[in-house]
Amino acid sequence: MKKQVAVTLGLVAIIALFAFTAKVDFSYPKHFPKPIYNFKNNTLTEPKILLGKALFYDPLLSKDGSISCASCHSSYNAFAHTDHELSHGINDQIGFRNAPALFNLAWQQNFMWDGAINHLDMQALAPITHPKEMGENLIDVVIKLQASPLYKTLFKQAFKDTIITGERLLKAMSQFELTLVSANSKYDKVMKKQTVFTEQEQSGYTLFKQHCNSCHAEPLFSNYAFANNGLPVDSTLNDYGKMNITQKSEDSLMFKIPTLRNLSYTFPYMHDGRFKKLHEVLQHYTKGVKQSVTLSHQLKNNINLTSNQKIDLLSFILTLNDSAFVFNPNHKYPHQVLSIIPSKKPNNKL
Amino acid sequence: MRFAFAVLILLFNNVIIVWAQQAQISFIPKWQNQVLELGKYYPIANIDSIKVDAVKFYITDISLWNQGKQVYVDPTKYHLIDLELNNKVSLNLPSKLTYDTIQFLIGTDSAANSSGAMAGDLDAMYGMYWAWQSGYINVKIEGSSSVCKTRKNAFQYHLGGFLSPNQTIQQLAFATTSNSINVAILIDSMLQPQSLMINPEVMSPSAQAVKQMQQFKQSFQLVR
Repeated sequence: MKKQVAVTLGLVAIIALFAFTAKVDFSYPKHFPKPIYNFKNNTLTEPKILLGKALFYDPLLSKDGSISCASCHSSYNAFAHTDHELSHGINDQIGFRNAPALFNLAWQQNFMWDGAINHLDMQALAPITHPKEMGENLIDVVIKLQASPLYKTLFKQAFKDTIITGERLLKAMSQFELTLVSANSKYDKVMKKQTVFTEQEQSGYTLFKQHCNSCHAEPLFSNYAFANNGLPVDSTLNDYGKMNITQKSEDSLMFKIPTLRNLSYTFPYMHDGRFKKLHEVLQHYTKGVKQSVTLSHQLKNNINLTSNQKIDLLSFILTLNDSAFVFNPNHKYPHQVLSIIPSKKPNNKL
Repeated sequence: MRFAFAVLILLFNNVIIVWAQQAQISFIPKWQNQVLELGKYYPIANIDSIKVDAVKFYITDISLWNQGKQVYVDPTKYHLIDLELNNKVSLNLPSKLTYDTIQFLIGTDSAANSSGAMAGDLDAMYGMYWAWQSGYINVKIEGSSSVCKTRKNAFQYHLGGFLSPNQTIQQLAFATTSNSINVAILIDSMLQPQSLMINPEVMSPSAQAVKQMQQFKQSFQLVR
């Protein structure tokens, strides 16, 4: 066992040595806007991304070592939690929101369904410390990491010394999460003039621009603002979204507008995962919008779509699936690195 | 040439050491004019008792002024004061600096609250950053009192907020020429029985948090 640990640590050291000075350019297609994230304060490097990935997949971050970030944000679900309305936490506890998909985070200013977090670097603190999610606190995570030979090595490769701090941990996690860029869907290829839409997809694109684009703005397919989309309040949750944070009545029922990319991988939909199918979502926007003071003005009148138009619209929505992103091996569980950590592997409760 | 340069540097450093002066600011918690001991029970409201377990707060942007002109700015912008572990801030001042006023902020500024993961005393691992929403806890006062009708009679004041209208940061200035500056914090003025009874828990940005931050500021007194 000791030999195996030594060999693996040596391997990590050699890989990181080559990669140490390798600054990673954050690349994105020309049809994407400039990112919001300030990379000058957290320059991407291979060792920091590797460290962030190791942390993201490591259940050591949770109180009882059973839950990692990846438990509710699986790479093969576009980093969402398919088939679960609400997120899972330690001791089989159920949270009260649907785990959102994680990608294109460099273009987002506010995080969580209610916008409670104002910077990507600080987002991970919320699930790490929430009693129904990972139930841990940052200083104890740091202490656990300090006792780990592997993390001493990974931090040294990333930061030139073995000092492990909350700041370094959070910034490394941001680094990995920033690399989760979904920009290779059929839509993107059409924008790059590498292919064309089918007639039905083109018709759906026209409908999309007419009815959806003001909130789910292309090319990210969200303006990442907050809106009340007319969902009736679930009385078992009584979730009023942004108002829970700001205490302002004008924020009642305002939730972060999610992207429409990768929807085939990220069901169920909405902040509480109430819709399992895309046709249920369209049914809501055409027939189910509940009027209220804070309702988005775009939804004051029901959206009228014929059955054929709904199919056309969905055929376009499916062009936003990015299988190259979902199955990107660079984003998957880092077996070689984490296999020597004496803690459980991610518990992807499906 | 290199040797000569090294000698010059050495001499210069020695000169700095000889000429530089240090000032120290000490924060001393008080309970009814006595130094407060954390974890010790004190009588309150005749028949009740109170115990303060933790007092932590941020001091930001310490500066020195002379005749209305700023003469020194502390290069270490943020200091976490934890009265259990560390109640002093040391300033390395230029030689022969004269000043008549010290100024600082209690709490953290907007930049700290919106710039992502921060290092040093602002590291979130010190437990002074709210996890459920963005923002630092500017002042944390925790303890218990039989006055509080809460679980385990606990009171918890996590005072923070950097967005309007609940900005909690406070500015304070004292007239002093001393390089040993002692600031008493009259904790008992913050923890009045009526207040403990009505608001034993304040843990989010709110008008009440702003009010209590103002009270906390008023509890600071220069010891002459």
